[in-house]
Amino acid sequence: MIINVKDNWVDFDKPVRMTERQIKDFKKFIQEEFNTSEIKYVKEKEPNREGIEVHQKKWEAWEMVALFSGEDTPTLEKKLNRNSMSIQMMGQKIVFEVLAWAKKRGRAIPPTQKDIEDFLGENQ
Amino acid sequence: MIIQGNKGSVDLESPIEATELQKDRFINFFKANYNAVKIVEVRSFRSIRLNPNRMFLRKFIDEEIPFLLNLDNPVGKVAESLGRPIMTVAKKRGELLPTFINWTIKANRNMVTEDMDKLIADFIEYQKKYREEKKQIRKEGKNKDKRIKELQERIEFWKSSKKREELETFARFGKIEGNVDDLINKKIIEFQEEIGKINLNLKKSEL
Repeated sequence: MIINVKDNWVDFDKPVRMTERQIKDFKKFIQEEFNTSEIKYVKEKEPNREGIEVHQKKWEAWEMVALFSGEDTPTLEKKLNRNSMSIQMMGQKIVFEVLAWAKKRGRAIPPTQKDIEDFLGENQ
Repeated sequence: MIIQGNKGSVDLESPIEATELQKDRFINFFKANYNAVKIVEVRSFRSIRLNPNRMFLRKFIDEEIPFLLNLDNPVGKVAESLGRPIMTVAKKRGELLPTFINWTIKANRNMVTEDMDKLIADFIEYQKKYREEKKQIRKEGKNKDKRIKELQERIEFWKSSKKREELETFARFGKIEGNVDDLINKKIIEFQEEIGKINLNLKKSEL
């Protein structure tokens, strides 16, 4: 997160996403430090997902292996016939889980299809 | 003073005027509760604030990369610590990982046996260098494009009747030696050769 400062002024570079607890803490801090409890509630603009249909296609072991190939998302999109969102979501999930598993089991990275099958066998 | 969005985004209605002490406390509050907090001195502050008509895209900064690549933290925890939506963090992780894996493979590094913090630090360093090199190449490319344009304009000028008349006048008064046509062709070839050399270097730097 970037906090912008200029002379005796402070500001967020962009709005910050906070959990309920973080919002509560922030309000408390502002109240104590700047003696104000003014809150303006607004509706946030959401990304336009109109017309986007979600079809979940099961991930195969060989596809998971491809996520470790180091190829960029556009290449993987073509290779796996999946969209970038699907690849990035699965990538961030499976790569971390397989890495943690490989460290525990002493397996190499990038994994082979056999490694992924073992991983899935242990985690399903 | 605070603007609170219905999805959990929080903004300030305007910059906060603060004493040095308050400013330090504001910064320390965020440094204590969030990761990768960077302080930037600015000339002016943004005018557009959280509102129903505008989405704000927060570019990821290098300081966030170690947290995005940290194996021990689930995506929700990382998002919370960076003050970002879970979806944005998940998407960025998914985008960053292939680059990271690709780099470990090419650099012959081992994600399983090596110290992950060191590995990530080296990766960030590599990315910084890569970006700088790209920037330099783009800059050189721009300068070369400018030079090519200049040379093309010169070629056109040497092909023009105006230049020919000027050279013919010089030739009549014995200021230049040789045939005017030969001189024009020689000069045009020189310019074309320089353009060829620039293009060749551009191609090499793109590889």
